[in-house]
Amino acid sequence: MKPEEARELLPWYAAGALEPAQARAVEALLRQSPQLDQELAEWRALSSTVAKVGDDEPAFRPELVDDAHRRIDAYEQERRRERNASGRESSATSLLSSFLGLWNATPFGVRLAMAAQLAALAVLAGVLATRGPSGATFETASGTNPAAEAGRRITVMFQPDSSASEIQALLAAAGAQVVAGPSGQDSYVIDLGEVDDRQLAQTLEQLRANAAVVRFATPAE
Amino acid sequence: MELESYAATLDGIGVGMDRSLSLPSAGSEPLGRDEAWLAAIATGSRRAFDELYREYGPRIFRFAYRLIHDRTKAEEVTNDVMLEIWKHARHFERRSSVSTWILGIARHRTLNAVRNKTLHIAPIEAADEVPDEADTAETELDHTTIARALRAALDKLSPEHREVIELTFFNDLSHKEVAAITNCPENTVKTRMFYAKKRLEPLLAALAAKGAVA
Repeated sequence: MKPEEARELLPWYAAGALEPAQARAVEALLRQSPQLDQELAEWRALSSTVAKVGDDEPAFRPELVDDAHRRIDAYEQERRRERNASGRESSATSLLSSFLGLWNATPFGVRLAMAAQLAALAVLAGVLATRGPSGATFETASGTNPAAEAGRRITVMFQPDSSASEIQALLAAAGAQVVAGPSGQDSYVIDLGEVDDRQLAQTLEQLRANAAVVRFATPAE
Repeated sequence: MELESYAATLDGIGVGMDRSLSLPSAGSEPLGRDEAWLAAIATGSRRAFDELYREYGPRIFRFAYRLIHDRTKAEEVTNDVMLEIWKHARHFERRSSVSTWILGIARHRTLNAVRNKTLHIAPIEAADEVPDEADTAETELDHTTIARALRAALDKLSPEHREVIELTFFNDLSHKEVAAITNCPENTVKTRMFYAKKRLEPLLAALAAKGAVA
């Protein structure tokens, strides 16, 4: 190491921040040069002055950490809020993009038909909303809560001339209620609740036996 | 202390820790104390944050205060830096030491604060000569008075020169680390140190003659 290099590194030698090899090289030159040694004394004077907290300097307040925690709390709260907001946004975006993907993959003619159906539905909804009796509800022949719980089911076709009271009496005897229908073929699906195979077969027999009311009965798919 | 053992320590006191955490270039090298703190902070450990705060809070405050000369602003800078650490601990890449990373943030924040504040700091070239009393210091002034005069002279240095001195002598950083923090070549760091000392030379000579440390 040249004396000029050692001179440049003296501040970090004084601070004890040199690598060992560099420190040894500087020490070797210090032993040979009283002038360098004098400079080192000056650097040490600076080092000790800077390293000490002056009596005219304010002390660090450890309680500052409380303020830091408050700021972290506020930051975390904001972060959670943003994360929730972006989560909702991305779900909506994802649904929209899925729909658009399906829509674009659909042939033009089908899209046109779907659009026409949607338009018809919108018109119908508008008409119902403006003309329908308020509070009107749909009631099946056998009860007010047809799709409450899914159980064993039977598809039934009733005789065209059977009355509502006959059908109600038959369903009540079978412990069944209508959950769907009528279909295009005037069939209904009735639900027996949680019954086993034997009870299902018995009910089927009972229904088929009442030919005055039941035209056809078979276990539903 | 390695991350796992640090995690175990935290678990022992009821602080949860994400074991899946992996520092970007952690490799197989064991984590140092500061790195373990950062790793734990990245998982949301307030206790690790407190420990890191105890170590670095005073250093950041001192660094900022000596450049800004305003206690309130120095405290603000300190907590700005600590919040940055909280936010970005997960992104620490071990390309430098933790202290270099933290003091780099501190320097950035401090210089921003300096820019927003009218300071009584003159550029090194335009600064007044160090107080005339330095000429008489060797014969008349005691050590404490000279040290005080030296601190006053330090306060008149530009932030660029003062920061090199603070990082070296208060934070014990090598010239390479100072260069990394100040984002300038090592030779520039050495030059700044040289010119800073030149401004302070009469006082330093007086102080050295009286035996340096009071």
